[in-house]
Amino acid sequence: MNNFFQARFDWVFLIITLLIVSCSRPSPSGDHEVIIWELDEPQGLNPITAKDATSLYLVPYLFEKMLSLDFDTYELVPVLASERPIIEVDQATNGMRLTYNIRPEAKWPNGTDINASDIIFSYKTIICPGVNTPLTTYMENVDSIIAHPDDPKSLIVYCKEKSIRAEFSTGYEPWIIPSYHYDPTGRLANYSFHQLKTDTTVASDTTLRAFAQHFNAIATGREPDQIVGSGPYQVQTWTTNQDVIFTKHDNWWGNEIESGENEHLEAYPRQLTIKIITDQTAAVTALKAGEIDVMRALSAKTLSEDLMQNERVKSEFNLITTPSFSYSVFTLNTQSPYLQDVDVRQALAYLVNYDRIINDILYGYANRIVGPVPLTFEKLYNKQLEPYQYDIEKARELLAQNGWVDTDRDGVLEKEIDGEEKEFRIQFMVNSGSPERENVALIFQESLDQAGIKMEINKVEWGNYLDRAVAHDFDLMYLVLTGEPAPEDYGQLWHTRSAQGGMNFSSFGTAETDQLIERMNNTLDEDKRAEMVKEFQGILHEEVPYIFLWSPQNRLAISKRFTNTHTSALRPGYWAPAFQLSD
Amino acid sequence: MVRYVLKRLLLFIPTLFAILVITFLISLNTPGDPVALMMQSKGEDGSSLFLQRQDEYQAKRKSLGLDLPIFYFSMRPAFYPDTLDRIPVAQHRKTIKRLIHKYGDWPLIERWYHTCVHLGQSLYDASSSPSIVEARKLVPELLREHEDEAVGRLLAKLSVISWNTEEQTLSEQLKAAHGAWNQVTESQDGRGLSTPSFQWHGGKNQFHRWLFGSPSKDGLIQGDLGVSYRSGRPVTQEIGGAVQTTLWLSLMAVFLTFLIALPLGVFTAARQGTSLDRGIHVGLFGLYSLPVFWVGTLLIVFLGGGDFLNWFPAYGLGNLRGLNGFEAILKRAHHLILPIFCLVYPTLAVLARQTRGSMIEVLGQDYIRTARAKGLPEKQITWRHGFRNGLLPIITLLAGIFPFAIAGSVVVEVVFSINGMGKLALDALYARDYPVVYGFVLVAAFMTLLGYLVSDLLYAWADPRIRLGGTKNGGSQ
Repeated sequence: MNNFFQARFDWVFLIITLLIVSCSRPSPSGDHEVIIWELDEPQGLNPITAKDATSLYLVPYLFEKMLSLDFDTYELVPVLASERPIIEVDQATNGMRLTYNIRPEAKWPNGTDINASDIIFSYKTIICPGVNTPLTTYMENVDSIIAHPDDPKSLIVYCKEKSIRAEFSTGYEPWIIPSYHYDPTGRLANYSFHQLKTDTTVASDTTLRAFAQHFNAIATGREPDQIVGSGPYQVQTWTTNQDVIFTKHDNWWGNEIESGENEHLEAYPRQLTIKIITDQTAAVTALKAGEIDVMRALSAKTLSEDLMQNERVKSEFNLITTPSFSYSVFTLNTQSPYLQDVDVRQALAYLVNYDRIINDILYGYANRIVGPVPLTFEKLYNKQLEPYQYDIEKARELLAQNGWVDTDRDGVLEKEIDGEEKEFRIQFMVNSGSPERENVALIFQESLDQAGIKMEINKVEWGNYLDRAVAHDFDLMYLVLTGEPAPEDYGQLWHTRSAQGGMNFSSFGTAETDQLIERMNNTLDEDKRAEMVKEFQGILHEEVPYIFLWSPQNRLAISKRFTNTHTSALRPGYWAPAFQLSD
Repeated sequence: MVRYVLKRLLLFIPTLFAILVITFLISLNTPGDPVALMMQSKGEDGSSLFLQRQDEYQAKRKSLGLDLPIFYFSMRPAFYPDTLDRIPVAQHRKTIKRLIHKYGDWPLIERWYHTCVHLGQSLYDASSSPSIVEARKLVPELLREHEDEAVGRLLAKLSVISWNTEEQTLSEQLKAAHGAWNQVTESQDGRGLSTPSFQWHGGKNQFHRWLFGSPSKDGLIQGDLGVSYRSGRPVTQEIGGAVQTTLWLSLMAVFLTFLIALPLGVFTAARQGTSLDRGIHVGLFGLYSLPVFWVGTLLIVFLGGGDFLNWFPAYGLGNLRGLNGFEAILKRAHHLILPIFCLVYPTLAVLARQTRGSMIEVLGQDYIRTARAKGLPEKQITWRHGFRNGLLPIITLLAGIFPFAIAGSVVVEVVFSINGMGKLALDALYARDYPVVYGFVLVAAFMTLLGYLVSDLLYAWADPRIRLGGTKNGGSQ
């Protein structure tokens, strides 16, 4: 026991060792390296099975698609395809055929051509039974795919029904992967796309099951040498919870394409380092210390109160906001006895103190919108409409017009509904765990109170929140929707069919709006469709099934060392392969 | 000693089983539908389209075994159906349950439910006309109501609508719905409602599958904790790496805490009442009262190279790629200083105070006086004679080390972006990734039991009187 406390000296030694460790400042990133911050570890870089946001942001560095979107105009542009597909409608069957041609230069990393067979293989993986992919919906309308008998670089996609989304679903959504790597033994080769789609016996085919099992396996999206795509970068190393390093392929086929032709086919940085820091405060500190070049999804508070106030940060970083495809709304249940009349719904729209909320809670990083169309879609956005403004007098007027009067002068409006005197008391449902949303609800509550409407805020756990939304078990609720840069099928949110267990939470719609939606989904002519979309926005604006609040802005910080960053509403908000050093 | 250890280990088993059952029961009662969560796909923001994707939903539920009974047996009122869990929509289940409580006749209620679903389906298939549109909005309400009056009103409304429509099937189905509802209400019969019925389900239940696995998948016994909803990776894999990180971090912290707090306690006990004693006391409790998340954030902001000093890295454990052994140790140590500081400082006060208290008691004992009378140097009295006896109460505190090691690091791991157990559990909670959460609970429970075992053993080692079941020469080491 005499030696028991000799350990004392050991710990003194240990602490001293810890203290003398040198504290050198990390060296700034090299000439052609871009260091990008991500909050979460990507779950897997298999483009077909990837579901989480981080993976979906990283996949474009490694893989390509037939078509992509222009960063400024949001129009489809060819990537692996040599041009946008030729689209023909078969009037007899109402089906569609899309003819795609693949660029002659397009090659896999092993030097072989990217052929129609690879495209067909990629489509087949999406519908292969057992493959765990979120992309299946995009293949629903596809009936079959046929490779050109003579030209290996040409293929035809047949769709069952005429659809405005066909080009997106077939060209923009599916990632293209090499069959030589992902299916070396040709397990999928025995079946055509059409067979996989229609033959019910495929579900029990053991070969296919074996393929799916291998394809879903973690290693397939995780081991650097298992991840093979035609994109400009390859995974060099992946250190769990630390970083993922992408290095540029020396012999990437895009190098052959003349620069300036297509921004998706340009790649300059030698290396992209994805640094994973799971706490935003720590990440901001790392940014200030010069360890990070690019940050996205900055919180409004961090950007406005910290980075914007920091002269050094401002001199080293471009602090940028871009529009986004998401928007916030209050959903009104039009079946609720309180909210079934248009007057009342409009009155509520006048009772949102939009400016105060945007300035106080969102630090001004949001744009007002009139409907579900993103501001960036200039052709579709109805500029004739004026967003509702906070106007309590107007609201009182509308409420009185509808019969809501405070007869007993207790500060709460009353009205007779179905022979019963009712006070205007409603429930507002917000999902718990989001202080921002709760604060928005509180400001709304205050305004309603001034107009004599008592609103109770219900914080509901997310799972329950969804259940109740689908079952229309609410009066008002807060909802954030994320749109896509694709032509939207408004039926999902607004067709009365979707009121039965779908996402038409507000039970909005009449036979006329249903038909308008069906016509919109059926009109390929963009100008004609734009007119209908504008008309539809007008109806939504008038009927107020939603109170459209705002579309938040994406907030980015990008080191001033780089130019050609292509910041845009498209996620993640920049295009790292195009980054060039500024002079 | 061996028998003592074995006895302790055997006691583990029933305790663990109890923990398993409780964990499992909690897991069943957590809100949110795991299938809906798993079916979240790109851009859908978690909403699932029940009607449209009904088949996929049911298949997934079945493949997860969620349509099976919950435990080996069930005790429920006799009228209660055992197939209720097969109704996929949570809200519908709720309504149906209420109907059962009210009216009691399950077959009739089931028929009512199916008529409503069929009605919804044919409305879905019909093309939009004004009456169809109105009817579509009413059907979801029908499945939400359980009061006779409300349902009656809705059915009446629907009937009015069906007069205005050409749809033959609609009016027929409505007639069927009317009939079904009337039967439900007429069936009202209070008798037998409270008769409990005992049902034995055998091995085909969710708990059994969770614990022992099914032919298609391993269970907990085989070391399979399931698959994370979020990442699709096995939970054991997710937790495995994290446990290591946290254990290392926490054990180092615990070690340091003891190394600092014990001598400090003894030191202050020997100088009881002096201003030095009081100064240390105030200092320790000052530290104790500072919240870790605040101190951690301050340390990062001021020492992590943001706007101020760049002494320490602000996040993670450092990237050891391409470093040799010594460099790697240095780099890791550099990253560990701030987190370990944050783990150590708040615990010093309690431990040092405990040590001080028990030392003061010991130093007042007769045998210490004897030692002094013998003329032994003060240092030897304190350390050799006093300390070992003063240590006994401290050993009890050791039992808490393992749970502390797992749970205590949550805040520190989150603040310093260290991917350990605490952070994993928190992220999993946020994401409602229940398999990971339960994995965490199990590991924490196991660690707690382990902590008690270790402290029992240490106690037995330090004080032979406590060596229960030990014989004089049974104390094999």
